[in-house]
Amino acid sequence: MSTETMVCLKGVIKHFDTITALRGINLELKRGCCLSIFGPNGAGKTTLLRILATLARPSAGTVHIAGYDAVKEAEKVRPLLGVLSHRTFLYGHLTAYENLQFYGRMFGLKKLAERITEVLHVVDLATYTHQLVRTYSRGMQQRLAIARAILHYPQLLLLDEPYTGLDKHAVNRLHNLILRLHSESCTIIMSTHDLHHGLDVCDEIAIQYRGKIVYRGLSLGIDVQEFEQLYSAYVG
Amino acid sequence: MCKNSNNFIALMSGSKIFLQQVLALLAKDLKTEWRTREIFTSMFVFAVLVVVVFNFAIGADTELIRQVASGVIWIALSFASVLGLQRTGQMESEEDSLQGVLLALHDRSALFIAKMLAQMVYLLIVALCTLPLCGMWFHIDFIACIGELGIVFMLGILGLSIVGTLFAMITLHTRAREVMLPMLFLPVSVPLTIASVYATAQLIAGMTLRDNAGYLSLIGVFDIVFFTLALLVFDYIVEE
Repeated sequence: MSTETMVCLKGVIKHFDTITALRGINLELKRGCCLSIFGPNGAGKTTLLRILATLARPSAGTVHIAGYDAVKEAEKVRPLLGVLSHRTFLYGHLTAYENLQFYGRMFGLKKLAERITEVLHVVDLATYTHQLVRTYSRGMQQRLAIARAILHYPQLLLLDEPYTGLDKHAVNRLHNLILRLHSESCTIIMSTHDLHHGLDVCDEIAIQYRGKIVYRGLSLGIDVQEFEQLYSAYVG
Repeated sequence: MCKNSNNFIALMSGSKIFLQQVLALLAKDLKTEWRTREIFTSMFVFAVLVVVVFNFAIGADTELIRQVASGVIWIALSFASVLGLQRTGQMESEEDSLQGVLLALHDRSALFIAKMLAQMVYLLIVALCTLPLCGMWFHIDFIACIGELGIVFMLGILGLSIVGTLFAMITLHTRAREVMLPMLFLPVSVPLTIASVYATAQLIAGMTLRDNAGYLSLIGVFDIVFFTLALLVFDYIVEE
């Protein structure tokens, strides 16, 4: 595996009792790239992202992130990851500042107060710093979740259906944030059903179906209609 | 030599991160509880209700009340503990916060220790608030043996917190969590509860800690065994 490679999966299989969620996933992604994974519900996208996030162990196969074995060296991999899902991982009874302060302390960040101010500005929540998170709108909570995910300068962002449950305005704000992070050379893997935004942000696309990556290619030059045809051809 | 010193530095650095994460988790739990007072209120009200109900059920027989008082106190603490553990688990399930914590942990045992310490704090406060009421209703002078009782309560509550936190995390993602937690926690904590009840009763009756060495040893062994077991299996418990 070259030093340019951020993510390398070989023959990853995942069983849940009698169900096989992943059936031999092989995937390699270079540093700074953005990969959007599309696929129907039950294709195994979330399971794949959970394995990359060290939240689940593969039943077979190997997972390497930035050269580390994500199973055996999970404690070295975790600080490199920023994870955003449609659940925010935030505590409603704490303020935005307190939530970020908690996660910052967990990662042992230096100059934490400055960093919190910085990320709250990035997600445009600086004026709501000391407001309880449970009083935030869904869109604000998702933006704060982005702040949480990028707080510790992660090298790899894993985004699992980040646009779910957001209105059009909130989706656009979140999308612009993801574009900004990508432009700052952050490696991103995103699973989404949103073809328009998913295609817009990524360099590479993959279609996952029934636990396998059935298509992988560059996103350059593919528009939504073309991709819909391609998607239908693989998924039906 | 150099390799050994590098290993030592890595170990110290690991310990520092571990301690830092335990403190961050504990501070977060206590701050949330200070703001909402949900866990303490439910635990305290329940513990007081248990004591009141037993007080009425036993009636005016002062001698009988004195005999069962220690049992009533520990039953109240054990059942109140279940309420606290369920709410703690619920707090981590809302918005899937537990996943966020797991992503930040260097060593997942930090989560167990922080949760256990938080539970211990809640139980100690509930015990501190309930004991004077028990003393008043059951006509027992706890002040006379407060230091020795303190040791028994510390060890007993530590055991309840260890076993409770372990089972709370095991049942966190089960469908019938509210039923599963007491079904697992209460039977397993029976040896601890019995030893704590007898030790408390004997101290109230005027005996010393030395007279209770057997019960204290049982509580101590229980705490050590379950603490070690919890540290060994916790990584697998929170995995999926």
